[in-house]
Amino acid sequence: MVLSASKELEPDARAMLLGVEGLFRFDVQISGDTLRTIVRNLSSGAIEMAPLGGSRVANNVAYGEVTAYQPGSATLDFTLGDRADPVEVAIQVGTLHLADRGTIRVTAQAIVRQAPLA
Amino acid sequence: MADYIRFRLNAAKVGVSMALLAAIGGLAEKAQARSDRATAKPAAVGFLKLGGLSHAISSPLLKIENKLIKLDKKLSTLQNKDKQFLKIKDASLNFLKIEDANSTFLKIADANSTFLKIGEATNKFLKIDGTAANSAELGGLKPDAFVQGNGGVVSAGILIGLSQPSVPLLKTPDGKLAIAISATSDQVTLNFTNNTGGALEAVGQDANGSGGGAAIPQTIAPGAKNSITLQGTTNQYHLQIFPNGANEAMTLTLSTEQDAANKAQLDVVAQMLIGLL
Repeated sequence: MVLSASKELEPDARAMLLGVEGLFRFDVQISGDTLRTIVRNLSSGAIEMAPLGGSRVANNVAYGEVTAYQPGSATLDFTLGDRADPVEVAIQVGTLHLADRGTIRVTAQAIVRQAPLA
Repeated sequence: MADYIRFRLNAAKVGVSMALLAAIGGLAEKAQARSDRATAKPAAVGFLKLGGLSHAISSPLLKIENKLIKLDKKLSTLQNKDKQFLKIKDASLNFLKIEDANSTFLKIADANSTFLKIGEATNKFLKIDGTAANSAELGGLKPDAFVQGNGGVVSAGILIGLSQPSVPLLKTPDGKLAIAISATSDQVTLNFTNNTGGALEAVGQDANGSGGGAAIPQTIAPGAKNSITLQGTTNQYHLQIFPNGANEAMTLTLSTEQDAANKAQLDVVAQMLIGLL
């Protein structure tokens, strides 16, 4: 399953971007140059966060005069759900600072799939 | 110079002869006539004839003649040397002084310690149009060690003119999907080039769309003839592309706004998230 959402946020505002009923809810908050992510576990099992900067490669490409928009990105991986049927979630977040409007456009994408059994 | 010396020597010979001949009276005029010719002919040819002179007179004259012959030989020697050796004045004009050369040119020893010889350079360095053996590597790693266009974030920001031809906006690192954009005064058109080989199913959400921002299914067919038209020039567009034939999930966010400084231009900023499946 692939989820995605995009919202334009005021600085310091917290907003929900992604959510799967019975699994998780994913919120973000941007304060200055800091992107804060909040994962609420809605499943019956424990959540296990993968180390930041783990196996995924940050592969960023820019075209044109995008520097003024201060493009940023982050990744977040976790596993949750029933131990007998765990689900792994790979989230990718992209940010663009819209200076004229004083806001930040945040886009998130989550790939949710069945995790291999340990 | 040699000619001048020879002339002076001949004049000197004549002067000596004149002094002696003045002592013998009547021979003086004859000697004078001979000396005039002596200036124009080689010394050995222009000397006085001694026939008829007493031994007391001819003997000193013979000695003088012998000395003149020796002088003439020395003069010839000098002339030969003059031809063999370079004059300092001529050398100064033609050749560089060593001290000047030292201040102007690099010594070979110094050059060797400073510059690389061509042979060594050829062995050590790559020619301008050459291809390095490891040219396909990055940090010692071959291309297959890197993610081949999968995953990551592609961001783009461009300024486009209204009613202008389509302008490239962004493409995925693997080139499987490229997006170009054009705009008129009341709508924006996205042109997709799908190089995945299969159709891509997508869901778009146009903030200005007729559905009030509802998600509208889209299909991006293989090839270059795919376009999505958005209403208005100030817009937010969100497109989720599902992997039907590709192993990536692509999420595109697009913001367009008329440029504050030039209303005939459109500020376009886009970001595409590419997730691996």
